[in-house]
Amino acid sequence: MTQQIHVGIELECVLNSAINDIIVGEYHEGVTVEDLPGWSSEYDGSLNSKHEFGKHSLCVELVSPLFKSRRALMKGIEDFKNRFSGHGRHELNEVMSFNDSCGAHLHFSIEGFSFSDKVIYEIYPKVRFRFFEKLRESNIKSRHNILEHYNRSYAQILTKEIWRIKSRRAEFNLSSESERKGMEWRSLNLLNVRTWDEFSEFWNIVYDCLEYLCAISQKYENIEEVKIMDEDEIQKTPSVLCQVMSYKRRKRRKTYSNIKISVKDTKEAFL
Amino acid sequence: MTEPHQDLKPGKYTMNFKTIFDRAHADFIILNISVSDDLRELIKSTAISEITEYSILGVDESTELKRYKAKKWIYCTLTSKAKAALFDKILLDTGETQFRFASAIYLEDFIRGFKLELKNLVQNVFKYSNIDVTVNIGVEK
Repeated sequence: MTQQIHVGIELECVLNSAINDIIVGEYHEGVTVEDLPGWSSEYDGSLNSKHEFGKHSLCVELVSPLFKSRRALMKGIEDFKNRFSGHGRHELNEVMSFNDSCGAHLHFSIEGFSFSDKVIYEIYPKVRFRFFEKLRESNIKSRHNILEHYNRSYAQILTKEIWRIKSRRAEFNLSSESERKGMEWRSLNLLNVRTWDEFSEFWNIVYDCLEYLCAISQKYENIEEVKIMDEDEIQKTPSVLCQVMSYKRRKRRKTYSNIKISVKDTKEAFL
Repeated sequence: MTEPHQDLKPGKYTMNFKTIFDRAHADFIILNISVSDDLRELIKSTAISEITEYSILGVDESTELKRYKAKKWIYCTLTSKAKAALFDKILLDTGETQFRFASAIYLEDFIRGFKLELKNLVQNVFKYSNIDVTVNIGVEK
């Protein structure tokens, strides 16, 4: 089955405006980045420059165009690298930095397919573990920082409860699907990534995980066995009926004091 | 108050849930439920032979769902909307059944409610089914 996918990136970073002084648009009203077609820059109040580049620190969220394949994504990443490195003159850490206020959100959709409708919760942790596994095996020096920063207040690890309420601040934000922006993977980050090679490797890993998500979300089986407690456990556990009956008994005593009730075996009769 | 279940024996009470989805073939998430024989017998013992229709939120509406009516004393102890499915006719007749859900959230809600009610049902059957109660009523003059 052919699946048309769409991938978009929101990259939060601190730019060195001494090297790349770009115009930054308003929040959710990005302006096109000069010499980088399709990409736009916008303000994001949650970012903190931490004076990474002294007075030249510029907090910005860079939003990519939509990519439809790994090749398109990696071409976009290459263009990004060329633009901000001045065609290879500067290493990544000279032109931008990723501190702990910066995230890298990814929007992902498959044409004609709704993740929030058709994908059960159990699929998402599998993607997370695949990402962790790939990252640990990678050459990215700050991989442990990235892993530690994966679960944060505005990108909380998905639990069944969070998944059910479709929280916007979850690791996988499914409510963005209803705004036709695809499912958003919010926990990604590039904390302390310092080289362009690491930057490219990171996005390759992410795309591997997307392919994995694509594969396991279109066709799956989930098996679960529920064992009811054994008889001893059942006897120990209070039940709904027990509460109902004790309430009725209290009521009956009050109202009908002239009725005498006797029970053969009090132990068996839950008294 | 309660009806005695003299034949009730402790056994293996297990239920299997299998969720299947294949986008290439259907737009529904299929849930297969199967019960162990002991559990089926136990649920059956709380049902009566009368049949009624029921529905489950989010389940393919083209499928007509039928269930056995349950004995009132046990049915009133169950609270979730999923309780009707415990007495599904096909499930109790054959030991397994299938529901087709339109959305993962509906499926999840159903499974949660179903498991809860299954536990409540078994628990209450064990707790109260063998009670031997004699009530003597005397009205004071």
